[in-house]
Amino acid sequence: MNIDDDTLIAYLDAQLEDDAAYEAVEDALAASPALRARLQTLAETGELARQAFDAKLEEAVPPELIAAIMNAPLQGAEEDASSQERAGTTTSATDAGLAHAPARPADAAAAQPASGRPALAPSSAGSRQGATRPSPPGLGARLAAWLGQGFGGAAAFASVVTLALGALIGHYLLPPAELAAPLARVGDTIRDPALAMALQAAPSGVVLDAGGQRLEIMASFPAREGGFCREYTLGSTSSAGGGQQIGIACRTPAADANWQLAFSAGREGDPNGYGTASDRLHEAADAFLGENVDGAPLDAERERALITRGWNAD
Amino acid sequence: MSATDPRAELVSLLPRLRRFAFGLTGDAHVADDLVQAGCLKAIERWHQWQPGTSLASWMFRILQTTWLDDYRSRQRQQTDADSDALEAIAGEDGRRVVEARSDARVVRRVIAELPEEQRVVLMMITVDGLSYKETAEALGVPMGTVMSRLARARARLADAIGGAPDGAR
Repeated sequence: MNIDDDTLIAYLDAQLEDDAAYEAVEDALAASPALRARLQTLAETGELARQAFDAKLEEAVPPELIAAIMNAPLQGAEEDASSQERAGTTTSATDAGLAHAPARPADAAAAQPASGRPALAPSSAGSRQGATRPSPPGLGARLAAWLGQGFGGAAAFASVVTLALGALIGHYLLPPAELAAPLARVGDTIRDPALAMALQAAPSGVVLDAGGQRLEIMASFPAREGGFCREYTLGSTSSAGGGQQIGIACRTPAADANWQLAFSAGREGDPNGYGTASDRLHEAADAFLGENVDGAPLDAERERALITRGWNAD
Repeated sequence: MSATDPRAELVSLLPRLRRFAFGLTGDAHVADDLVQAGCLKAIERWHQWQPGTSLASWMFRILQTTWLDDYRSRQRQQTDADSDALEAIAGEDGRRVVEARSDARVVRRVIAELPEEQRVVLMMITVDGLSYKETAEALGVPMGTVMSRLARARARLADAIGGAPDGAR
């Protein structure tokens, strides 16, 4: 049988139609040293092509690129429950262009209610579920790698860390299987790729659904000892009783600083939905913030400027 | 309707999109501008994406058409600058030994010199690992066309770098 380059390449790419096609190629290879040599060359040069671009995959993504995407307005018609939080967003998405899209004031307002501290997003957003698609295999680990590179080599931020509180209030929730990163403990660098990405780039008030979890960054604060802290909630998208976690992550203003978990409190799933337990979590988070941050949350404009600069100080 | 924020979806694809755009444009800075423009375009047109199909291949198509429409004509006069940029990018990769660096540079140059329709198919299939079917659907061409473009690109690559020991020059 005559085997051409098309067929050999499809063989290497595992794109032949059926077993018979693979057998035909293998029979031909067994009979022809020249064909084997050609296969070898094609395999090697394909590998060289992949390797030539490997570095790009491992490189840290520029924070301003992530921020530009995270700040882009969503089309109102395409959003359901979460569009309530974005009511008042009249900026046309078609104006977006290459410039950074303006932050949505409504988002910041949602995160900073009159009580002076962030409140939980309404659980009505839980109606948005169903078609969550899992990440391709290996992508989580890869994300962890490139996110980690951007924030590598940070000094410990232990002065802000309060070990006692998290342990006192509750226990840490296990992340779902989709998230490749190991469970973070207070004092650890945050390695969960979705969370690390969101802390670095998402404006407060944006609800992110990823890997079966609903993440919302509630607000950002200047840390008393320099740097910044961001409070977030992490819950399940699958049901009202899926459990909930409040976390506060902090980082120094250094360019290569990591977000580190400074406070964490959670509770397990509760079939009755959000009850008094979540009040206790919020009280604990408030107590932590009272001791460790400087006053009020950052306003939307200041926060956006910091996101764009990758949280480097002025 | 997807339950997932499109922006988070796109951010999770950024490493692959940047790699594809780098292969397409041959310039790291142009590639990142292109990725940003393409992602903002995708967010505007999110309703056109069919959940269940490959988001990556849909994005590659958007990047390619954006590159055709908006960027390439502007970049055409800058071929020399692009070559310099290729050198500079290869030089930035401090973790690799010099030999491997020059290998990668040579390979990228060969790929940069391919006709664009071949380069796109090579980046999508050989470098990114998409299937022929996904690639054909994303580009809106028959599978046979994808295969012949790929075969020509791979033959050129094999001729240019396949003969030398370790692929080096």
